[in-house]
Amino acid sequence: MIVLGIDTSKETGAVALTKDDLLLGELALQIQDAYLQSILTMMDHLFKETHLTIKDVDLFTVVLGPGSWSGLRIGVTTAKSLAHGLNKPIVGVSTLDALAYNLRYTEKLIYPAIGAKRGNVFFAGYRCTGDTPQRFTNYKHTSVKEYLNDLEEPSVLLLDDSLRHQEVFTSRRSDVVTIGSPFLSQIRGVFINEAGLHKFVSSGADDTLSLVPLYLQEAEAEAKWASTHNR
Amino acid sequence: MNHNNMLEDVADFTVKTRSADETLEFGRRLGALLRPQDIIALVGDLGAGKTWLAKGIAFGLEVPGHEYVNSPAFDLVHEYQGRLPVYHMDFYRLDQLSNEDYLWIEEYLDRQGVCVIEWADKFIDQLTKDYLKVELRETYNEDEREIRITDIGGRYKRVIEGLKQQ
Repeated sequence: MIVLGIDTSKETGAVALTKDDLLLGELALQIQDAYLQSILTMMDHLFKETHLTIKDVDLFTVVLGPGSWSGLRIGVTTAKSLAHGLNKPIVGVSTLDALAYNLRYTEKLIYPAIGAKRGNVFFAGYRCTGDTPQRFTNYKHTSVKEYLNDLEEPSVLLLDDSLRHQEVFTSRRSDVVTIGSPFLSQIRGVFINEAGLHKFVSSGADDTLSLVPLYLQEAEAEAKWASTHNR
Repeated sequence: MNHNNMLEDVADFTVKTRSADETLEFGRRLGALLRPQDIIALVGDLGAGKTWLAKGIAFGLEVPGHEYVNSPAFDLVHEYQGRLPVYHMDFYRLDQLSNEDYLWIEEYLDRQGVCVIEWADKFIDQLTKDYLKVELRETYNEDEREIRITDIGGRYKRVIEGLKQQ
């Protein structure tokens, strides 16, 4: 099964092409706002180098958010248009789920976090002892303080660019709280595909036309996610 | 809406332009003085020349002349690439700001470009404390406009000084 994954949720843009267990190709760019224009070029480049075409894709995976409003609109709309036009299934993946795939086979708890407006964060907690991260909290939109209060230890924090250098986080570093490497705190295209494929196999595709970005705040985001994902 | 309050502000700079060309040229001079994350709040009645002034500002930011700068009233925002990115917005069509409106507008305000917002007075005070208010008024002379510029919040002293020097 050939899977194309797309992420435009932050300043990063990533695309990945996998075939069953093989990573055929992956591209990531971090250029402020430029991913908005370059995502199609990146996909085109991947297809050229792998001698495939968009018609060979069996499943589209896309990062739904939380993240940048414009970025998510573009990524989700691009993926939906392709899936709808080619009549292929699509699966949306939470930004936080995709990030949790970056660290596995560890007893430590994994807490990906993304900076939100007004000093808040989006985060969730995961047990990553096996192949598939198991989320054990709700998706949360809280103050930084609440995030740090909620942490169970020992844990690894995967912090995005806007959070990583804040003193409130770095001062929390200890024997039992690790701040993950910056490169483990960015979404990897290949893990969008792994997360999306896992979800596709276990609970099927999302409805192409009603799939929407997950950019709304707090209560609304939770309710929307719950109603569309039966979790 | 606090339109009345706004009119009571004492303008830091006032100029009269005698023709559409002069209004465009004034916009160009203003645009040349702008930096990343500056916010220009355009205020004025229908036909006062907000879009025309925005076009001048875009040219002052070196948006290429072949770009057709027109009203974003329907689309809400148009993007242009000049010396800096220009985000030309229009609140005319918005009755109130929804949660989602806050998300997209605040994201534009945070980006490394210049926001030029028509009908800004409808919501600008809910969005930011620092902006350059540019009010356009028709006078009794056809094609003449009075342009009042007020530095709200104190960020724009350099722009006012720049305009005064020219």
